[in-house]
Amino acid sequence: MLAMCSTSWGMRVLLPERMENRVHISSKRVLPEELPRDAEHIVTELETAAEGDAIIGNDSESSSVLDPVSAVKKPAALSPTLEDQRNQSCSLFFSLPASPSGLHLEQVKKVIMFSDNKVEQSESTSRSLRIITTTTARSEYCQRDKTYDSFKTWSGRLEKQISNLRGKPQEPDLEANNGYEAAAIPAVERYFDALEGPELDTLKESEVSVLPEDKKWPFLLRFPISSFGMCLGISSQAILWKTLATSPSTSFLRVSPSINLLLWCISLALMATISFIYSFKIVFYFEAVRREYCHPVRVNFFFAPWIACLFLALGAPPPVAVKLRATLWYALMAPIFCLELKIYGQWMSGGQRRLSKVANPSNHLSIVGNFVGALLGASMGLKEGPLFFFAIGLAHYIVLFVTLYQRLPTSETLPKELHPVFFLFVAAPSVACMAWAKIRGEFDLGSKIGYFIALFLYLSLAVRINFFRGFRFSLAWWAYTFPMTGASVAAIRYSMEVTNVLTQALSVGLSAISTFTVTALLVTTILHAFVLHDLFPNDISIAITQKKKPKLNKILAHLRSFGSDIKDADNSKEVTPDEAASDDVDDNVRWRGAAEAAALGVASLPRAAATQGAATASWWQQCVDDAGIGEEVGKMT
Amino acid sequence: METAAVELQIPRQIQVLPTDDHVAAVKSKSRLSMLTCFHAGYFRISLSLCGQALLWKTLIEPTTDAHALRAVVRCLPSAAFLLLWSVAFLTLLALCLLYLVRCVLCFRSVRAEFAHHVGMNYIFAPWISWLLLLQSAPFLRPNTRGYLLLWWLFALPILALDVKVYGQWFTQGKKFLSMVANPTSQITVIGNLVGARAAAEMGWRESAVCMFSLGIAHYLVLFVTLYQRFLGSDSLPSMLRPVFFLFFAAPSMASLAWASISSSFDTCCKMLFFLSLFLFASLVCRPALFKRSMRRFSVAWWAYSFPLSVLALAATEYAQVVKGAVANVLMLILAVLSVVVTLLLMVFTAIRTGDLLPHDDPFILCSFDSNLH
Repeated sequence: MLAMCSTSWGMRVLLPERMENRVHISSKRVLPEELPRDAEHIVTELETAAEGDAIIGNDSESSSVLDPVSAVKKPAALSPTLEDQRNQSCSLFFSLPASPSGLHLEQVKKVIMFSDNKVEQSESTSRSLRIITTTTARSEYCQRDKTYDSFKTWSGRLEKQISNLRGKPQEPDLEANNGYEAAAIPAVERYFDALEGPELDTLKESEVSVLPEDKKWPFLLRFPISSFGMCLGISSQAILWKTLATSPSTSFLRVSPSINLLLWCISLALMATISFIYSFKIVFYFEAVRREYCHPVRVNFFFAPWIACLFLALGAPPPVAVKLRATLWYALMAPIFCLELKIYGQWMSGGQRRLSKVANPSNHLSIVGNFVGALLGASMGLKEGPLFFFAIGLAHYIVLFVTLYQRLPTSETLPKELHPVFFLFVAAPSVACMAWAKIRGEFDLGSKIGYFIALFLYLSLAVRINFFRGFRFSLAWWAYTFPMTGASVAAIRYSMEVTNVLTQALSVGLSAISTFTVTALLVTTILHAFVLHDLFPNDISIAITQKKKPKLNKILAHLRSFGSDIKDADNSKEVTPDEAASDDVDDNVRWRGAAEAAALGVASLPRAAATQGAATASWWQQCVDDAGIGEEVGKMT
Repeated sequence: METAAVELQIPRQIQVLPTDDHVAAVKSKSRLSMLTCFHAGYFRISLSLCGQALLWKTLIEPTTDAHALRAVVRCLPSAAFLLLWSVAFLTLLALCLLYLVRCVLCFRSVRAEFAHHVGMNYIFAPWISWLLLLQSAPFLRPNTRGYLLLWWLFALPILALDVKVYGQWFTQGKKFLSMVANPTSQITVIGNLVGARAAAEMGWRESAVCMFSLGIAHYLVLFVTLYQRFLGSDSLPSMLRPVFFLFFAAPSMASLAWASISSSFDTCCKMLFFLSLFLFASLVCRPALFKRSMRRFSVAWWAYSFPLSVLALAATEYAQVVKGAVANVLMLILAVLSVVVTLLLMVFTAIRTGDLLPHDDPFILCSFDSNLH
């Protein structure tokens, strides 16, 4: 009695042996009431690819055969009694997500069977297990890769709608009917537990990612919000060259205004491109954007687009600058205001995202927006609005500054080693001093105090340049160049006020350093983009699991050894679940792992198991609970 | 009288004796114990009413700005203001007397309250209320001797409490700031700022600057600490969430105090006002924070009113300086909001007085202590 099936590819397991009782196949389609009594427990554990997302599904093309109830009933009808010696066979059908590389096929190595059979020992014969893997022809319908569905907007339904609209034939997707809900966003502690590094972008050794780590994810999924850092870097350079060209104290350099025009046009184009791409990500991968928003470091980069626009307005060539309206200022500050209400409110209300827990140097990005807005507003001639944002920025900057300087033991994100992110410390005081000068109309004492603080911080980082080592390049580094540029502009502004050789030399020197850094970064970026092709690596930091899962490979290694033990043990004695449970803790862990990786609707096991025996049922329930997979399985079923 | 005093110290649950005399004694004792259960948190009521009185006085004052909105406000009859002032005065007097009774009869409880990280801040509240009443008094001019004497009478306790509380913050073993900081600690800062404003009105500039600098220095430390939130929301029970409104009361009061000291609403005052406005917006956008405390009426609800009155006051001063439409509309909205909230609270108090009255003393220690002897 072999159930024939055909899908894209599947695996059939034949159990030709004396199974006097019926096989209990757990799947989402089987109601416990339909199951025959005295069902045996079979747990199959399937080694899948890293996502562990094996779905039991039935292709409706061959529905008549694949109905598990009928599959169950067929063998049952034939040999219901203990004395029946006929070979029973039953097939269990698994369908795995289609893999373009066929990796799954290689990795499907083993199915472990555990049967709790109450058969008398004498009856036990060799229980051979034949595994036949077949790769049937792919169905003529284009199988959509469902791996990334949990990150797509409305869990992939949007994409299906669009495909429908485009007229592509769709295979009937049965899972959709079950109400695919988006994976819940991990809590902020999970981000700290699972990730490490100064930008919280490296997965810890003990963690697994929800998406396959070895495959290259879709481009949009790999496009982080920190890409807007590039706009920040280039547009701040435009401001620098504009200041160099227009400032009287640097007029001896005879800088041409066309450099500013060129840089401004480049940054405008770059901003347009990156916004365009990211808007696609918002439309198609909204869940991924939400996860970025909940990431304690990445959330600050949501200010970056608006700050970049403010920089563009500030660095606009003079013919364009006079045409800018106050409404533009209000339009740019409104999103910054809303984001601030959210983030500062979280700090104040002291919940999970309170400052002592999440403080990290990237928080400066949320503060600098206020000062940049104040600077632009004052340049446009507004009075109260710039003062409003300056006041908010100053108050919260004091809080953040103190917190970061304290390097609280409760804060987990501050890196032990120095990282370019520390340059963000220089950003706030330098921009604040310029904003205050513009608001007051002159570079007074308050501005000078801010300027000197910025200089001091810059110097303390510069002398420690040796410690900036050993970090993987990332696009976010662009965001850390704008503080250097900001310090240069502040130095130029100061030299306008106090004009002597020292100040002029300082301003020229700082400008040279910042230009050099940006150029070096540009070369590195081009290198990574076109030569090394890893400018956009897989964005692991958004793909952390909700709960800590032991790494699958480790479980499977255990299971492999355990499975072979079982085979040997079979010949000698029965292995009952209780015995297995009472073995050493290791086995228990293995079994928990097995239960976890099983994709057979294990949750329904205990219900049917009530007929078998309370002890067994409770043991299985224990396994399921321990593995904490109840909900996960519930989601899949 | 002595037997009554002794009886008070016996905990209620032990008195299960069936005789009539004892039952009567229990009944009278519980009424008396209710009187002594008026902890300092009840001074929120007097704070709110006195803050409202000050707001009304400022709104009624003749102003140089001939804007129509202010004129609308001035058509409030001054009789209403006098009524409000009298109500505030009588309430404050009653609460002070009740608290005196409590001090006399249940001193250990008062001591326990003093040692509590939330309770100790409300010991400032009566003095703040008296100072606010003083500033809003319709018959007392700031340059009279009476005003001066009363200022000294109310400011000295505040200074004494400052030394105790602020000294504890950085010297005491178990009670340093990172452990005890909670939003009610801002009341201590507000006390200094109110004293500074009252002194500045009198013309005593140096004392005003002294108290202002005390307040502002500790406000800076407290602001940073509260934003950091070492203990998270655990330090405050969810019933006390309304005290989060104090976050924007302190900068508004600082703005008013500095305006009195520097005789004009300058940039510094504006910046403080903007900060308090932002914090107000930030709290109003988070109604979930207050949901649990809004389930049952309690005296904590009175914590909503005083910060709104102070914010409205600061908005009034701001609108006077920046004579724009936006500023005036803002002032009107905030003033109306604070009046409405206070009126609602008074109505709630009248309807649900039972919920408001103290059923037990949260700082009860006197009974247990004496029992141990």
